[in-house]
Formats: sequence, structure tokens, C-alpha cells
Amino acid sequence: MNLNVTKLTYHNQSNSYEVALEYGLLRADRVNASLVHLDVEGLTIQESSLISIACPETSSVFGSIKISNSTFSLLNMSADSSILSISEPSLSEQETCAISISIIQNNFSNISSLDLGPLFQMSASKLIGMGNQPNVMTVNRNNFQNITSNKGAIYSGKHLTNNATVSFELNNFSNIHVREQGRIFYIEGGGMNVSDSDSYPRTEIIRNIWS
Amino acid sequence: MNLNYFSNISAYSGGIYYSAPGNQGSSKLAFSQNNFSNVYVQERGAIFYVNDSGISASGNHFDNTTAKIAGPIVYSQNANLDISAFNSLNYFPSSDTVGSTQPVSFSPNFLDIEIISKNPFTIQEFSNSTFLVTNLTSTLSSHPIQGCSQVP
Repeated sequence: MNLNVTKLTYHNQSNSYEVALEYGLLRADRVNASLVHLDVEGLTIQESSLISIACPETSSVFGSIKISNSTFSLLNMSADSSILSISEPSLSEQETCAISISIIQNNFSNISSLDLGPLFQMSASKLIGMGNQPNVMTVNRNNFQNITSNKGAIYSGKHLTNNATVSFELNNFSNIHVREQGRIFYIEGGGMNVSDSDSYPRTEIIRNIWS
Repeated sequence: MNLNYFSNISAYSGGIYYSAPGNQGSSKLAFSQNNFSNVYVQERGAIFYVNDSGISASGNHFDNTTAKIAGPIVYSQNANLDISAFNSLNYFPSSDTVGSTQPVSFSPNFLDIEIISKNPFTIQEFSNSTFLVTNLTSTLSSHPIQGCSQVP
């Protein structure tokens, strides 16, 4: 299915900032979508994503999604909420999901979240690019400003397998505040044991090499 | 990550990129020609906090990046990183080095030393990971020493 959306304004029409958005803009498991000139403002998003895409159960190809020349501002996210989420609910160990995500020339500003990844949540790891390309996600020429979250203010997700890559180019990130780890990118999983003491032995070796 | 501009960012650890879990060294981070300015973390890794990722970085400007405890640029357990290349290919005009004198810090590790001797010898342990080995009576060349750096 091909979907083209141009110039969609999605503002909170009520006087209350607490009106929750439950259904989002797009749910899809196989689509080629182009979303241009979206204007999303003043919404509270609870336990859902504005755009939610899932790898299909019956095909190894999701398709593509492109979001460009759009504005997302004054958004209040609860836990498990994001602007764009990518999931793979039913892939087996050997299966992959071909996808191409492009986030081009958008403005993201004044967005806060009580959880992780209010912008892009990648809860899929078996993605591959379309046409055997390694890149699954391209994020170019965007502005990210005044964003607050607990972890991973811009991108949170799992390690990608199959040599898949995510590319960020020519973006501007400013005034990003995260309460815990990983201001911009947070890759989740098990924990690394971190001692309260520092790495003096190794640090000394490095110092000697550089001196 | 190429040609991005990061400014006025604060965090607990991992100001730009945080990935604590290991991935058998298969994760690769490539950063080139980015600008990082005024990045502050309360603990470790002002820019990168990684486990065993490979990191290649060139042409980046790190200006006023601060980690209060360690790693004003990188904090890692076992990153695959050419530190000499990292140091020479990037720019550090005024990175703060509070808590560490180098932009890269690694998590604690230790050196496991094994001395193979035909004759018995004694090892006396002092504080601060200091040891005294005695009764190595013959020439040192007859005692192969194997060293292995390990992380806890």
C-alpha cells in the first residue's frame, strides 16, 4: 500500500493540555508512506506512539516511511510513548525485516517524556535495509531542541544485527536534558558492571603512551 | 554520525551515546566532523559510554565536554578504539578534564601476572595492589612471566 500525506495539522483543540492522544496518526505493518508537512502540537501522548510501525507476520518486508518538512512541538509523553516506534512482534530467530526509514528536515522542540525515547523507539533488532542496503534509518537535517526525558532523548533501542546501520547527518541538537543515561542515543540491554572507583591502571598506561 | 551539532547537553552518564550492554564487539560507532560543545555528565562518559563497541572518530570538535568522574570524551569497559588515532584526528580546544587527565577512560581492570618457577618462592601482599615476590634466587631469564590484562 502506498500512502501520501501532505500538510496535516494536528493540534490540541481543547483548553486542556492533559487531553490524551490514544490512537496516533498511523499504524502500519506494511506500507510505503510519505508524510510531508505534518504540524503536530500541544498533545499529551499516553502509552502509544504517534506513528507506530511493526514488521509484518507474513512477509519479510515492511516497506518505507519518510517524514519530512514537519514540525513536532509542545508534546508531553507518558511511558511507552514516542513519535515513531518500530517493533518486530513476531519474527523468529532467523527472520529479518526489510525497512527504510527517513526522517528529513523536521523540527522537534519542547518535547518531554517521563520515560525513554520520546522521539524514536527502535524495539526491533532484526532489521535490514531495503534492497540489501545496510542503512535502515536515515536522520538528516533536523533540529532537536528543548527535549527532556529519562533516557535516550532522541533515539532508544536495541543493538541492530545483520550489519544494519542507522545514520544521523547534519542535525542540530541543543538543550537536551536527560535525567539518567544516554542523552541522545540509548542502547538498552543488560548492564555493564561499573565500579565507583576509576581506571587508574589503564589510565596510567594511556597517559604514558601519549606523553 | 556525520556533520551534526550537539550543544548544551547534560546527563548522568553518556552525554551523547550510552550503550552499557556488550555485543561481542559487533557494534560499530562512526563519528566524523561533528561539533560537541558544552556537554556535561555527572559521572562517566561525556560523549560516549560504551561497553565493547568499536569506535572510529575523526574531524570532530569536542569543546568544553566534562565528565565529573571519568571520561570527558569516552568511558568504556572494552571499546575497540585506536587511542592514538583518536587523539590525533580530532580536536579538543577546551575539553575539561576534571577527574581524569585524558579524554578516554576505561573501567577498572587489573594485570594478572603468572610467574613460572622451578623453585618455590613467596609472595607478600601489601595494600594498594602492591606485592613483594621473594626467593626468586636464580636469574630472571629462567622465570617466564606471563601477563594478562583483565577486567573484573
